[in-house]
Amino acid sequence: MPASPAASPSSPTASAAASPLHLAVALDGAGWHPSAWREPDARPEELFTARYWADLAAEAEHGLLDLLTIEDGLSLQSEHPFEPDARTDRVRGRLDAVLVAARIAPLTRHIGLVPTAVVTHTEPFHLSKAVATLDFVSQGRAGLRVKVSGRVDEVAHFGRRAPRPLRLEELDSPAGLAALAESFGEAEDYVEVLRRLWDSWEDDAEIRDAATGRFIDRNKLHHIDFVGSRFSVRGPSITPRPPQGQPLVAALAHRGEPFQLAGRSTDLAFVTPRDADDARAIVAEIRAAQRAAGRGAETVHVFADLVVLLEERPGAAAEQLARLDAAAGAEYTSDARVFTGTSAELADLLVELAQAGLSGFRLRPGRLPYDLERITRGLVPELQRRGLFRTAYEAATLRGLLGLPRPANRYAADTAPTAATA
Amino acid sequence: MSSESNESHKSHGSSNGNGSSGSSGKPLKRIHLAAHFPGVNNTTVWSDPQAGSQIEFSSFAHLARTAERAKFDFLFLAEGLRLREQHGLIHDLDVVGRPDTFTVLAALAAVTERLGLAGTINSTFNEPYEVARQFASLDHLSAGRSAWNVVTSWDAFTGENFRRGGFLREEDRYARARQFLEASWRLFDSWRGDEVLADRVSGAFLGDPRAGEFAYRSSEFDIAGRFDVPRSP
Amino acid sequence: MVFQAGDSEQGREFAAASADAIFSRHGTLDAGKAFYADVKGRLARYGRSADSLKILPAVTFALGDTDAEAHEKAELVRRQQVSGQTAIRLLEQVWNRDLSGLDPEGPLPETDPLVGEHTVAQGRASVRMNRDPLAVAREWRALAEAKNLSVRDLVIEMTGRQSFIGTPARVAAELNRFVQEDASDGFILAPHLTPGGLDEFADTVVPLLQERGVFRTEYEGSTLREHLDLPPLTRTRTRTRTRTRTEETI
Repeated sequence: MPASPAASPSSPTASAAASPLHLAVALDGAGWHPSAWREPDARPEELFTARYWADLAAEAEHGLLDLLTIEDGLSLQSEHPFEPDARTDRVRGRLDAVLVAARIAPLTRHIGLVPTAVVTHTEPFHLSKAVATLDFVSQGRAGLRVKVSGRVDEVAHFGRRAPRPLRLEELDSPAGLAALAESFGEAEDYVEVLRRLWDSWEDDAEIRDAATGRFIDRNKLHHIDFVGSRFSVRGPSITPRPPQGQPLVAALAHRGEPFQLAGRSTDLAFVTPRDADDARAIVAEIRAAQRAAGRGAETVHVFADLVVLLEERPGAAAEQLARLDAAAGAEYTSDARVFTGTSAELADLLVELAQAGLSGFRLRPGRLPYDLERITRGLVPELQRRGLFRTAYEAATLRGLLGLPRPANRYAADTAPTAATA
Repeated sequence: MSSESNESHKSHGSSNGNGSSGSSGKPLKRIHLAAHFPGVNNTTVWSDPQAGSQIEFSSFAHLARTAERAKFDFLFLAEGLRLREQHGLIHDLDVVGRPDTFTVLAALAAVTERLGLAGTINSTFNEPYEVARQFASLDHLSAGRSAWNVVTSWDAFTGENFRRGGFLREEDRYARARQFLEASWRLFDSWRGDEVLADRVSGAFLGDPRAGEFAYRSSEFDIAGRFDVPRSP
Repeated sequence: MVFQAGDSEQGREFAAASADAIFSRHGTLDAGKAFYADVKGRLARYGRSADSLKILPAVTFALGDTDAEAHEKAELVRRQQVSGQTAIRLLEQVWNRDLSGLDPEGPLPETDPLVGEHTVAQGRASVRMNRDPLAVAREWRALAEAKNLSVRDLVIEMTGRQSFIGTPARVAAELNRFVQEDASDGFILAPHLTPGGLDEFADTVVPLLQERGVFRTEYEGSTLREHLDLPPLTRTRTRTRTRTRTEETI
């Protein structure tokens, strides 16, 4: 049976008050620190098994987290932002994130599943039905983090475009900015196609009308007819509209163009502020992009990313980080702020940053499963004591957990007048 | 009848407790059975009172569990990448709509233990690097239970849903399919299977700095680099 | 694991070169045997043994407590599958003409199929398979006249007949005969109902096949390759199988 908006547990009237703070965990390999795989409780030999990911998801759900994300790319991991490296001392290799999410979906009941997918080389039609299907197999808990690829090696893996090597220091040059605008323009078109395809079936398109012999009312299926400078897609999707109507779209954003994409196209932005002032400026930029796109009335969540290493003894986490750095042979740096400390200290920081306009946080555990367990068993109870985090899952869908309504179908209005006069 | 096939079944006959030979004394072949999910076609009767959802996961899980209970070899999902039209209108008399093949198969791996999981994936509107990593991932996530039914498409009608777009002449379809498979095998084989050491003491995660290196050139493809999914079961 | 579906000359050769299993559509014993012999015969040229490619036709079934009851059920299902409207749509795919005015309970159209580019139906594999629509139309007309069939009856006759009909014992015996006489290595069963269409088969036919010793009672391996009794995949084998002239080596 097609999902009905009225019956959806995520409809605004049905959902309880959303959690004051939202928490996500970012899963990647054995954790975000390059030495994490060598920790005693790490499971590096299991990174390519379903059980490893199922266990992490169960732990995250035990901690009542809003969602988990799974990193991905279309190239082997590398220290270099645009090219491969030949390192053998770090985790290399990974599984397709959408499929990992699908594999753990039937084993979880509440937590949102947000895999990463590269939009630069892939087909929006395929990704749209994959995420719609993830929403069906998880019964309304699917999201997607769209990722733009600037990697030369990924271009060669597909062989369809001329490689355009870009150096980090060129990012602010006119050529760099033009390349960035092009890539993020493509991403915006891509998200538009995803969203139109999710809406290309109205919720009540499946009628099974024995009297007329019709399985569907084809007037409730819509060609999307997206025509852009980079690609065109006719539609409709082969997959009916998913339970959430529109699965959650997220993006990680560090600077201007990505902030524009976040404000114009996403439901959730992951950002990397250094401090509260930085966070305030970033939120303002995203809100401005949102308003400029006519989305001022919609909720766009902004979560700050933090790499976290947690220990319950003050000072111990910093010692652990130093030990891990020594094993790696280099000080760990990240696009996101690296936090070391206790659960209570992290809770203090989250409260401070939240006042800058952030609605939640995506925590990147330095070590897996260790720091995930410190989040679910240390940080979460600490936030609960302060009345800042849910004590039970209050909604059945990811949109519901994030206080987002189930959106109306953009195409349904087209047929409403016809239906009214019929 | 082929002697090879008889030999192969003889070697497995002992594992079947009884009756491994027929009345003529000839060894019996073992039957292989697969379950096709009833989908987009007029053979699927949707009007029956017992007909359930064509899209909810519970329907797929039900068929998969039945097939596994009956010790079937595998479950099979078909694919079609554009809704069928007649007289320029979407065909509405049969079941319409289906899920994404890879995604459903990965989810089914969670509710079955031994059943094979096979799906149709098109070689015209996909690229080898992406499909190879999806199948290799599915094979890891199902512990060696995945299979790929390779099909080709010819029509510009379906191509209208894809950025590749496109129309392939009939003679080019199989050339692309063959090269697509060759490229995919090249990618699967780019990891031998012994590269992941995960040796905490020495600090070597990989035993080979060139793991996953590949290159493949043909009339349809020109790709090279490093594949990012280690060899699957 | 690679499967291939398709019956064309190119498809058969492609399967012989590359596939672990081929899905065919040969529902009769004789057609199945001919296809089986043809495809298995191609394997040696690729250095492959006959058991390295499994031939699995897609088949349908109808079960009953008696053969007569099974045939009644089969007839009922066929009429559900092919309504009058569906019969006209399927006929249009052969005729490549608008036949929406035609009475499904009446005779076939007087006009011949329109030969050439298909304009009526799009997105269907079956349309392309009608290589010679005029010949198909001649055959269908002859059958309709001989048996006095309406459009709907004829379409049911040509497209809807279940492959195996009868009591579980009869169906088990026929499935087994098909395999033992080398018309196939097994079957892809296509039930007509979602999601319970396989339940009865699993409960009644499978135990009979197991009693005959021709179907496993427990999984013996864990991978699909093991289930299908296929030789283990080696790196060298994939290399040999994939080499062609169009490709350069690394």
